[in-house]
Amino acid sequence: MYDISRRVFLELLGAATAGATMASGKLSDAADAAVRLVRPRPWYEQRGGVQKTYSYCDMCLWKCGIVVSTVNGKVVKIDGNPADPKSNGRLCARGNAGVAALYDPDRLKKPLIRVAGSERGDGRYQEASWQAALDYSAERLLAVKQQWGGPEAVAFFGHGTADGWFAEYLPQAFGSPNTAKPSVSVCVGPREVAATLTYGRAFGGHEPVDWDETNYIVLIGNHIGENAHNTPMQQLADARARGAKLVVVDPRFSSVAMKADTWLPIKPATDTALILAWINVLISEKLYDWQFVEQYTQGFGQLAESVRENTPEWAAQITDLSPDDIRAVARGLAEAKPRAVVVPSRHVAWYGNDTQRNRAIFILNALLGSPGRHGGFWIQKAPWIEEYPHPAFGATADAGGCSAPGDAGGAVEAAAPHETRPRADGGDGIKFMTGSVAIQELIEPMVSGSPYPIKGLVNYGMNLFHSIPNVERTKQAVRNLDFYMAIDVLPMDHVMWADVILPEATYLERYDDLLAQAHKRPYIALREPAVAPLYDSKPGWWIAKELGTRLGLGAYFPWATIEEYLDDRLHTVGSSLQGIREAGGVLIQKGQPYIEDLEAAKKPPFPTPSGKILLYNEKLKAAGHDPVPRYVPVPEPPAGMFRLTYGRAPMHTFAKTQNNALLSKVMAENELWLNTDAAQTLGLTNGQYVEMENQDGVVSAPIRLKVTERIRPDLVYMVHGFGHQAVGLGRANGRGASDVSMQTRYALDPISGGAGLRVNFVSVRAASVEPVQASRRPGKAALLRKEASA
Amino acid sequence: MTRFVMAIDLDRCLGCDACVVACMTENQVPDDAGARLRMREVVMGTFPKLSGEFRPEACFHCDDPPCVDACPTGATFQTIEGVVLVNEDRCAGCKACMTACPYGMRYLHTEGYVDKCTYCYHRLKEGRQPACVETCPTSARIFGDLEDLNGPIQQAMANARSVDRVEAIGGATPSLLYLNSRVLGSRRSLGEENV
Amino acid sequence: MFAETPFEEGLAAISPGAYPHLEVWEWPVGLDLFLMSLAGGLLILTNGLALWRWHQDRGASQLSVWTDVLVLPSILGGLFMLWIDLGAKLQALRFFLVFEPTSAMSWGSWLIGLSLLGGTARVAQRLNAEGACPAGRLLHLARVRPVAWTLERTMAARTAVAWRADALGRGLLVANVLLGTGLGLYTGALLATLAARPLWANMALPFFFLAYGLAAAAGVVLLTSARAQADGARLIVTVATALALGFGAAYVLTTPALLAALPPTAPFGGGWFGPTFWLLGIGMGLVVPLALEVCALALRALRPLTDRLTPWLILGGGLALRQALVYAGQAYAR
Repeated sequence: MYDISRRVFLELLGAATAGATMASGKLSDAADAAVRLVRPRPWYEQRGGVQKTYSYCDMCLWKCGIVVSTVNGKVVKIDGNPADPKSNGRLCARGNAGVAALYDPDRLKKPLIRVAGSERGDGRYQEASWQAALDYSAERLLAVKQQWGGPEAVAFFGHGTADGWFAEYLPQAFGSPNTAKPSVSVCVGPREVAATLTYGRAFGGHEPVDWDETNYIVLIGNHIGENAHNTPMQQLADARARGAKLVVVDPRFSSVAMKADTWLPIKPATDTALILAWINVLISEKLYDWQFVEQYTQGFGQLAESVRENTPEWAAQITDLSPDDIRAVARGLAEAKPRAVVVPSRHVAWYGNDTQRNRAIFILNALLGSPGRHGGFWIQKAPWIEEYPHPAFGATADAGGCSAPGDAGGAVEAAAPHETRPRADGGDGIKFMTGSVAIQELIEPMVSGSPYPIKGLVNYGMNLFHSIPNVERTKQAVRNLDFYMAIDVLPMDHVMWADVILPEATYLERYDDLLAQAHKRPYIALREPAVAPLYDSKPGWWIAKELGTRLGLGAYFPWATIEEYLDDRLHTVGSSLQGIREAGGVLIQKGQPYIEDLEAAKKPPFPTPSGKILLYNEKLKAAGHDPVPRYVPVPEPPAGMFRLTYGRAPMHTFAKTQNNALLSKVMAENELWLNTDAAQTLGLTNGQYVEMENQDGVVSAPIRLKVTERIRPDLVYMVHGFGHQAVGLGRANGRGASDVSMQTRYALDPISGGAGLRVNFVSVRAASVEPVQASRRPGKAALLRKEASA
Repeated sequence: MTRFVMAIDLDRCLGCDACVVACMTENQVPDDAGARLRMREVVMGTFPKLSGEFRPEACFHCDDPPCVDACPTGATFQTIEGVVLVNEDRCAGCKACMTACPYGMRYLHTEGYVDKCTYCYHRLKEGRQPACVETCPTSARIFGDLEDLNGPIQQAMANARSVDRVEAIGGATPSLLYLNSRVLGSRRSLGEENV
Repeated sequence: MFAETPFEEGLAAISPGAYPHLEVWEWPVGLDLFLMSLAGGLLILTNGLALWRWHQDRGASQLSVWTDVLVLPSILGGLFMLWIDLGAKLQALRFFLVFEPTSAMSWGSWLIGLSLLGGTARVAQRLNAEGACPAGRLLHLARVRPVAWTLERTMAARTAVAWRADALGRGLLVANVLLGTGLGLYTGALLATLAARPLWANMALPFFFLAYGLAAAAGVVLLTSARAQADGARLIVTVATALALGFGAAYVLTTPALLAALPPTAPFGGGWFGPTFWLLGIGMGLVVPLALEVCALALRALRPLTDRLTPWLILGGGLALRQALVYAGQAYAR
């Protein structure tokens, strides 16, 4: 019927069969095999196998133990070290992203020397050999020492998990007491001083909360989960799963506030009133642990007298909370005591009265009987390991910080005789009473020469223009210096102002000093390289040794190699470099976490002069400060302006990680949080770019606005560390805005030297310029929705 | 019959994105392509009466996945344990599967094939947990066999206040379980979409 | 209760890399859908009409040879668009190494392949039947030896194909009509089988696209027809356009997501989707041509104008509608 000839019919049949064979997928399998021959296999299928090395992470200051996987000479993955007490085998986003830090194409690659005749900040450099750069640096540093009255004329700034070489060892060998870390006066400093003035010892960089056994947790401004320190995240989650109650005091509905049983949206700067009210309730309702108070504290009578008027009703007016809520928390704490903790923040440099606020917190905990008790706060103990022998230091340097050896932080007893000139920051009673060196107070000597000129600066990994308030003053200070050298990994904003830039290898490419972590279970951790240093970068220990030798301090570096140094140190605890590897990268010692442990060891649990917790502190009174904390109000924002507050994001660390390929992919820029009603009044909408202008007329870079219910109307909030002005940082340059650029003023804490940063006020308006780099806006389908109430 | 599922305890999750980044390194997700995981933030209420949670999302490894149906080359398939995978050697990058996923969980790899969460199948074969589960600082993620009555999934479900899945839309039948969500269960009655 | 509770929902932190990838197909896919449905419509019309008149013409046709020839560049053009859209272009042949019955795209691949074969065979059949020898016009180039050799081979090949095509006779025409229908339906089914996209997931869409493809093909027939066949061509255009409008209405009325996202009462809303879909796709592409043809039916004087204008309006509208739907369907994914 269709006139198809037999030949054509057979040809059709053949074609159909061929088609069916193709359609069956057999040929597909063959094609797969062909492709597999050509396409590279994923790293976990590589023939070469995976090499594993130990280290401790450098992506923030927490220093979790890690295991690094390397395939064919390339680092591919970082996992938590299961043997490590900080990471317990888990890692946060930053720890995981270390791989991208290693392979960041924007890294500094060779030593650079600033072109003669150029201005600091022009960014004009020429490459140099290490020999030349180190020789030149040593020569200039010695010149400063010679011309400006001694080694004190050189300041040493440092930050990072290996800042010991440059912020402690080298300056002390050199003879300068002017060494500082931002983690003190713009971070934990006031807390450590408060702890020393109350308990006789610092609180410690690994906050000693006994999460495993506590039943009631109050967090004061502590944004665990955004401040993504690994161990508290783990332990808080477990504690809550166990049934512990959580109270969060924060003007913002932070991530951890979402988990709270009670969220107290406190008015900013009034926390001390709240804490005093709690103390008042505990005393007036006789809910405090009287046995503990009697046995371990002194000054109760004076405390009771001081807080007599600080009732919940009084506090309610100040804090904008309800008296019932305040009372309920006090009673909740009391019911759970001594397994109740009021946990101060880590960064506490808020308003300039921060030492007193933290004293109030520590006093409150003492009334609950939780210090040194199960379910309360355990007591830090540094691991026992000997220092490598070295000649006596030329100066005592008290840089403190959360990575100080033994993690002691706080005030340090003088170990070496003072040289010609004391520290220039005004500590030890001049500008402030006590505590480690206040970094922002070392700027003044660079600008005005008071109390004596500082003309040299060695900066190891400390983000100069993103930490210290009043950036313009810092820049002026840098211009005034005779010599400024920067040791860093990336061409950060401040690095490109230095006279000499030395490229350090990242933590994955180097050995470092052992981590000796004070802890409930003190331990020693190893950092060993996973790969050789890329480009022409060098490890920090090598730079310190080479520089030190040229400065005439060769005697302080008697060891030939770092392996020898580590091996010798480990021998003092009966181990070795190989031994610690075989032990899984970590050597754990026995701690003395509770009062009974210390008493059994015949040590005072609270080593104040009297051996008791000082609820009332004579030394403070003698220096003209409140011996018992009082609430002192601070200036409020003028009408139409907001208090500028700032905090952390869990995928970034300060101003350090914004160029990281993985982390910037997850969070490319920061946002300014503004209350919905406030935004409506100003006519601003969610997602638009705005700018801030502070009380001194400084205008910020454009920043994306986040209109949200999650914040009180009287403040704005942003994540710290963005707004880089560094053309060398391909991903980070021009993204977001810098909170520090708005912090032209700070309030100096007269007790600890802390720099209260939350004292700046801003107005918010639509941005007048385009952002330098803006993230692509999501399509309609992916956008967030906001539904108004019916 | 083994059925692998992931359960995420939203009471523990703090939205720290550790899982998102761990996945990127474990599975070498290219910098300038998409991501296998993402973190959703949901907040309800008006100040100061607020509640909220973080919800990590990735491929839900649906029971009857529309993406597998849509694939013209047979590159994407579902294993016997219910894990939806892509044979990257076979994928031509036509993106039919990407369009078929109502949640947008797949992305185009720079090598030209479509990629997505694989429950770290290469780890499962060795008896290890997916990278996101292993790294999660709050131990919010649990992975295991749904059919194992004594296993971690059933245990977690028994201990949870609520067990939810994201709303099944567009022909998808998610198998990923969200435990203790303050948002999903309460909004199920709304008929609102959650994506 | 919770409907009154205001809420915010979004992606934690600014993470463009991690946004849901809901918008993946772009203009190449829209162009492909248009070209394939045009090819499908042409296959149906030319082969169908030839089948209807088989006893009279036996393969020859009153329609211009272009209506058969244009099938090929249409399909090839669409195929090229699909190829541009592929992530792994070297893997393009994968579609022909397997058949996945649940995948509309797999059906489409095979339909495209077979339509290409069928379309080529039909062209060869026609050229053979009408004794057309386009090579005659090119033979003067044969002075160059390699060109002459190539032409000889091509002619031989053409003869080989034509002879077989001829042998298939009516079977080929039936097959082509079925393939053309499949092709036209496939362009809509590619979208309609994706339940994830509310604007697309409607079984009326394949019929709408098929009918629109028929209307576009009818326009091509009108454009290429001689004066003598113009009346018939006009009738086909009118009927096809009305059919397309009918299926279009069925699709629109049964797709609540479309009515919500691109309401007909606000044709300028929805960014560029609204105007493109309603004003260009429906209005310019279907309503206006139908009106013009109806008027031309009554007013002879209009015919020279409408004969030239209507096909282009339908073609332009068809392309616009496909693009609008491809983009809008992904933008309004929820």
